Amino acid sequence: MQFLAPAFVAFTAVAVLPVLIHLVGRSRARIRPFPAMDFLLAGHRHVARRTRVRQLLLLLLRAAIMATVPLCLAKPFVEARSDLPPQVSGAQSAVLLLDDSLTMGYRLGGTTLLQRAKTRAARILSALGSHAEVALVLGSQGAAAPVPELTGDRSRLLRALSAVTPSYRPADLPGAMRRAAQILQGAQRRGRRIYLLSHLSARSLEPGLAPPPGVEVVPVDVAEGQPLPNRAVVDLHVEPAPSLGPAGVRIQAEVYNAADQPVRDLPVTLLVDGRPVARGLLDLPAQGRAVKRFYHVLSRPPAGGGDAARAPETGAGLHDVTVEIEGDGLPADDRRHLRVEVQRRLRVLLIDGDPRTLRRNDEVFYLEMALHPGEREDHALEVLTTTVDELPARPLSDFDAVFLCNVRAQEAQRGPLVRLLLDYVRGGGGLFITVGSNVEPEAYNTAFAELLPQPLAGTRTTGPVRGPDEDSEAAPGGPGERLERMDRHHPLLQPFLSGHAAESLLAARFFRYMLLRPTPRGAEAAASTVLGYESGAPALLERPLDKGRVLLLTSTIDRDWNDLPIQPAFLPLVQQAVRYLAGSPLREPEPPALVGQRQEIKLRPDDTRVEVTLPSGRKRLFERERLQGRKHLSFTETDEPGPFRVAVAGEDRVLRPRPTEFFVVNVDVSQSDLRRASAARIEQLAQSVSSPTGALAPRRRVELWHALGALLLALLVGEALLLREK
Amino acid sequence: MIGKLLEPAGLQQLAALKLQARLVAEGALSGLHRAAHHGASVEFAEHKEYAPGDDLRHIDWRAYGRIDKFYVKRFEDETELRAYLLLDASGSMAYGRQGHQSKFAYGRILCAALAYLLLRQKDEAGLLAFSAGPTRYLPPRGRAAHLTDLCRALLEIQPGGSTDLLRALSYLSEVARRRSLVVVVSDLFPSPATAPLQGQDALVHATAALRARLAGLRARQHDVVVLQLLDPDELELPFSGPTWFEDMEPSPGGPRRLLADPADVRRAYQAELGRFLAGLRRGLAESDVEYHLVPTTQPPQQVLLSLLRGPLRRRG
Repeated sequence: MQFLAPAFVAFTAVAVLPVLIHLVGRSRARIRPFPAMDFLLAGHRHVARRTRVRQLLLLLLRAAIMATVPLCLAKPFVEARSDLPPQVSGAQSAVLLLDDSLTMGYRLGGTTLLQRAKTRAARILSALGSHAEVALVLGSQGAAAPVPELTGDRSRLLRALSAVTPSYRPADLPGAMRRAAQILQGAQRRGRRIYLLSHLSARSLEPGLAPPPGVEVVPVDVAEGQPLPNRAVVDLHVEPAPSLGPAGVRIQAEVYNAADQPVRDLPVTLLVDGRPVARGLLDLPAQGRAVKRFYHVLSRPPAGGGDAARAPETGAGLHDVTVEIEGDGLPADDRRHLRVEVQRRLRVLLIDGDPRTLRRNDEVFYLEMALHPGEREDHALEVLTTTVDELPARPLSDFDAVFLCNVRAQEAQRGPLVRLLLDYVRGGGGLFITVGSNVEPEAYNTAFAELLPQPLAGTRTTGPVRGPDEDSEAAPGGPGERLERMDRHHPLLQPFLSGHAAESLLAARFFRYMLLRPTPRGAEAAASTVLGYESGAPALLERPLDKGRVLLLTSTIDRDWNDLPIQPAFLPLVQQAVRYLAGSPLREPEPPALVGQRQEIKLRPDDTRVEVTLPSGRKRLFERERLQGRKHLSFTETDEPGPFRVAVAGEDRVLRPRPTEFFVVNVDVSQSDLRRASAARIEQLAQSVSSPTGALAPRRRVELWHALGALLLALLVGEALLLREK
Repeated sequence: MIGKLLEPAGLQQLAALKLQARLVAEGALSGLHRAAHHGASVEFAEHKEYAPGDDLRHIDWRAYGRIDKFYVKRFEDETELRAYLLLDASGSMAYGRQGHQSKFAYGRILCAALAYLLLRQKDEAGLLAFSAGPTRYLPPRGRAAHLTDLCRALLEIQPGGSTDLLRALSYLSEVARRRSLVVVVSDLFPSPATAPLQGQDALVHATAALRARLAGLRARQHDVVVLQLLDPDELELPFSGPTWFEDMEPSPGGPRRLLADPADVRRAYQAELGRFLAGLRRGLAESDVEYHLVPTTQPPQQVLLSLLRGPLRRRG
């Protein structure tokens, strides 16, 4: 122990004063004759031991008090060997590279690694002294440098250091290292160092991380070598579980155990729309993965309304699914979110214009198979096949889509079908018209003039055509014509833009199709070509009509004129068409974004305000001027994991939730394995170019007078309590 | 001492004590209802037809006026009260708070005042002063001049030595043949020199022995009144600072001493004393002995007054 004012130490001799006073007082005790000695002696016997102890304690306390006061004034301190790296001594230009990534939120001994790193950084800053120039850079992906240039302003550095908050982003130490190296390029001091304050896990010290040339990297392990066992939900996958009904789902969560010890009976909880609905236990091998499966029926409507309002009993609509495991040192990666859409059951009416007794020769055989594969009752589409003469008594408005397949115009005109279809489409229904041998262009143009996207002309044959009663299993001969033109922006075709689906669609051959007449100039705008043949003739057209829309396929829906029904693309194409006609969402929900990734929010022309509610409850508002003329709003503040809610206002400027734009964000778990990098790797990183030879480890001064002051206070309180006991 | 009392200063002391006794007694009497005093010593019991030899003073002239016959009033007890005043003169009685009279001086006044009162009622009063044993005995007399003898004796006694109340009571039981009133004036502290046991046991034993001896007196039809005199210092232990406490009565191994801070020991001391006093009060009450705890700060006439309302009235 050393003292700043050692002269005061001599005054600790006053500690004997209480003892002297006690002795003198004892010798000078007055003598008093007293008659009731029996009671005095008896009373004294009872309290003698306690009194002796108390007096001794009092004496010691007073002696200690007397000694503590001069000791405080002497300002004692001890010099301890510092746990800071030896490089902190000497003039230098330094960058404090503080890893503020997700995994630094790991709690160790009641405090996070980030807090430890900040404390250690502050001590390094203090040890560097006033002659060093320092900058501060953060290690998480995309983080800005709080102090991007070298400075001697300690208070600014400390302020910036204390303002660092934990991030949910993954670490990008190579990027941060590059930035630090750039800062050090303009350094004036000879020694250039980067103090890397991190847990130094093998994942974060990826192979690409190397010391910049001419710069010494000083790794500082803020975990101090302690193991950081961690578990994380690394994947979450939801798929339909038809056995449970249309709203049944199977949820698979993959959990990773990065610890060296296996885990038994780890509680795993499934939350749907924020409510826990199932719990289970999972055994995890050491440094291994395991999958937990949940089966659940999404039977409750999600918070915030949305699609579920249309069919709440089926659970249709968008749901937030979360799987979480029992918390460990790093709770942020113990839960994973997913947004799941349960599509409502769509009802489809097929009007068969060419029914056959042999089913596979039936006009709608392939269409039925594609819309109702497996013929399961619990399928998302409910298909009803009928003929013109046997139209159901139910109104057409009960159906989400109607297919008019190779129906003779004369048959349609015999009954009220044409009028019903027209009312149906105008009222918001979706009609899909296919042609065939029963379709006579002139009669059709007359009967369905208001419905057809474009008047029909004659047929065009490009190859051998199958007769209606020919065996459908036989492969048609001839080259035929393929599809070539495609409206790439049309929602119906989004699954066919690339890959196998696109190849399959474009592989279909058309041996005959119906040509169309040119339309008057005014009507052209109403119909648009979705798909076209190689010749340029339209294959699939669309015409919006009031609230509904009509699709026209200029070839057959069976194999009479083409081989489209036997292409793999047929099934998704007709299912997409049904959803498109029914106004049901056509795409699967976007896969969850990762923290920091941009999220696109679709805008409608009449949107005037957008409000995004973050998982933490904070809100971000975007006004009209940010939205005007845009189809998407790029939302970049995805810095926290969890569900994000979107509310949009129209012309009335009243914000309403838009569940179709809700999204979830997950943390990047690629660095959740916190096992420490090997010593060789750390050493490789720390290879110095100008390591001061023989540098002594810095010593740090631990001042004791504050503790002594506290001790003095405690002694005084103790004395007061002892005196009060009398 | 007798010589001293014959000196002018001694005579003055004697006169002062007598005066003090008279003042105390008169003060006590003034606190009583007048009628109560007159009827105190002679209480009417019944009428009896006059017979030669009956005291003419007791003829009821009103009854003669009504029925034309001489009737004589008979009284409950027409004999004089005989009282023994036992005054503790041990060393412990010499204690008195600074600036105040000692317990012995207080007891002396009480005894003198009681004697004055008794002699004024034509009763007999005797004195037995004791310490380790009876030190002075004046047999009961009813003469008015006996007061002077009693006062002189009280002035001649000086407190000192150990206490042996039991011995004094034994002596009394030998000399008091007739039914009497026994008034014990003492602090009742047991003396280490005479106690067969030590410590807490000595206190218990002393209490039990005293109770037994007084119960014996009661069994012989004596009325017993115990006036325990205590100085306020003894009740409160109000001292401060380290103090050597020394016993005021001799012990076999020399006077007992104790170095203590009164603040440390006060609560325990008061608990011990309280336990002793409670035991004493309970024991004497069970033996039908009237007991009064008398702090020496209490005016003596108050003590006398309470006696006049109690034992002196019953017997008077």
